[in-house]
Amino acid sequence: MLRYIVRRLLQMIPLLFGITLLTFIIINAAGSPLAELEFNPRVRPEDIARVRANLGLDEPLHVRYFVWVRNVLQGDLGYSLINFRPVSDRILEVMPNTLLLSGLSLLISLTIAVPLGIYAAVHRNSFLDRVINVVAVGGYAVPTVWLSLMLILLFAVKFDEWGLYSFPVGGVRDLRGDGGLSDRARHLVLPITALVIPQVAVWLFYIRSNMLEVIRQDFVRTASAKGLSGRAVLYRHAFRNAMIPLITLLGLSLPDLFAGALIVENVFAYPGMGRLTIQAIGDKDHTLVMGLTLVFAFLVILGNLLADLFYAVVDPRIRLD
Amino acid sequence: MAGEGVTIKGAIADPAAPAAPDRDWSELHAAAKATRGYWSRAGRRFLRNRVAVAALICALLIVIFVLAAPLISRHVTGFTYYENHLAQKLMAPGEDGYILGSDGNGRDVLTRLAYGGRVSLLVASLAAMAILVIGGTIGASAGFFGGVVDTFLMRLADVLLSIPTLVLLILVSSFYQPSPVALAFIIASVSWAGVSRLIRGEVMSLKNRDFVDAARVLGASNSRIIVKHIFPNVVPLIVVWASLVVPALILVEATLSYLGLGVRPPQPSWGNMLQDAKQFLRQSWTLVFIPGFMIYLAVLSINLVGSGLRDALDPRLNQ
Repeated sequence: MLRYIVRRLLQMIPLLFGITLLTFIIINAAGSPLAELEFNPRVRPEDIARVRANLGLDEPLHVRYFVWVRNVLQGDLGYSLINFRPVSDRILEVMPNTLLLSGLSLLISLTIAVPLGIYAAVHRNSFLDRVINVVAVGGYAVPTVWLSLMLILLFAVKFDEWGLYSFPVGGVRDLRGDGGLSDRARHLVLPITALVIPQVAVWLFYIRSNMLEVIRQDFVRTASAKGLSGRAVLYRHAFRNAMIPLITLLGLSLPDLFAGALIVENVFAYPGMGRLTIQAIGDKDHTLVMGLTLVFAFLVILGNLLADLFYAVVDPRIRLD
Repeated sequence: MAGEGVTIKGAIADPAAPAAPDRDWSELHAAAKATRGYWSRAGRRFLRNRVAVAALICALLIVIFVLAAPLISRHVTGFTYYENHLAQKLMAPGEDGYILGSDGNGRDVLTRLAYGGRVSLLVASLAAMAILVIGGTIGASAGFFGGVVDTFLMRLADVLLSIPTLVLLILVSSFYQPSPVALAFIIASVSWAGVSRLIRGEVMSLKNRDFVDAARVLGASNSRIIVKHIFPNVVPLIVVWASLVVPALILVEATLSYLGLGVRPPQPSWGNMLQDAKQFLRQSWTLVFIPGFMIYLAVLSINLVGSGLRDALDPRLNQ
């Protein structure tokens, strides 16, 4: 197990290296972050040259890459080009918001999808199974952007017009209030709903088909044949085995989870990493964009590693060495 | 009738069939016939699936609607997609001759919807093709040649898969003011990793089959083996993949356009119509509902066609 972990950690190194290289190339293909200054007639060329030198932008590309990677290795992601605050500070102050949003939505989705998926598999072709299937197919196709806007339309705009309680649609807390727990929770309701609906659909598909596959296997038949009650067979034998592949899928679903959070954060003006990414790209804040991409990628890789390890813990048939 | 052995692989090289060198050509001939039978059987299975057929009709109607955009503009609405009538902005549907209402600049929504759909569907299908060409080539080379080529290409795919695609896409498309075609290629350039893995796996399992060895013994070149023997076996996989990835790409295009990184106004796309409508949520709910609903309808119907195709093409997956 330890050897496996070490090997996996070592495998992360070339992967992260590749990610830094790709990010750096793409960013620099975008051209200079000072491009707009250069077209500004009020800025003197010698000032631009000075700024350029201060930011280290007049070094050759490969030198800049290695300087950046060396700094990253030392835990220094550089300074934001817009306000010269450390990139790591800017990311760390919004990261908890994104992790809360995506983590909570994942948790809620699984809480809804697991029992429904199992029910649908066990009572296959029943009325409720069909309903669940329709809901899953419908939820899977819904565009997150549109869903978010529709939620705002109904629960904020129309509820307000009808004199009902209208949910807040921006930020993480009411700027006039004290920002207590219930205030924060209210601000999370709509963004999380927008994330949960498509996710529930995806997990329903997976859980239903996994469960169907497991139910058909010999050991489940054995368990029923030796006289165990349906409930015991279902929960002690089938359910636990059906959940194992979900762990890997959980790891693989992380990029989608972050992408969903990115969309929702931008619709709801929610100060998270996704919204910061869009801002940073708009600002041509190259160091911040590179830092964010790196952190996203790192979270994805870490998530996959944890999923694989957990997989081995849960399923003793898997030998990692 | 839909027996277990009705897979395209089984049709071409039945491992149980006795090796009879003197009957080589007749067997190949029979194999070709069996392949045709496979497709017609799949077609019949598809047509029996009522949901999938309904979805196909819906998808075709959307395509016709979109292709007929100039006709709709000239004969039905009488508006072009870019003409502003500032005095008649935010009309409700049906009001003043605006069948689906007008937007914040007084542009006709129905006309823009038809033209916008052209962009959305064009970007999605073009991107799917480009992804297929890039990812297919990379995956097939990795799977077929193995070794260093495989390691290098698949590590590259790992890198792309580790960064959320949307972040990469936003990054790349923020540099340009992309035309629909450019946008499709931008999307393809960062999204090929998934399908390359899929095809690599399929090619790796196919290249060790007896019929590939037989072709090699007969002196076929690598390119001939790939094109003539491996490619036809990957086609069902590609068809299913395409029908499931096109809706995903419609969503991607909508998201990029919503974030202001897609095609530029006044050229409409369903995504930038949504973005434009967002500021008028209080005044006109139809304005934000309609383009999103079209996206939803298109994605839903193509998805359903896709799962119908999957069931029809691969009876093993039938549950």
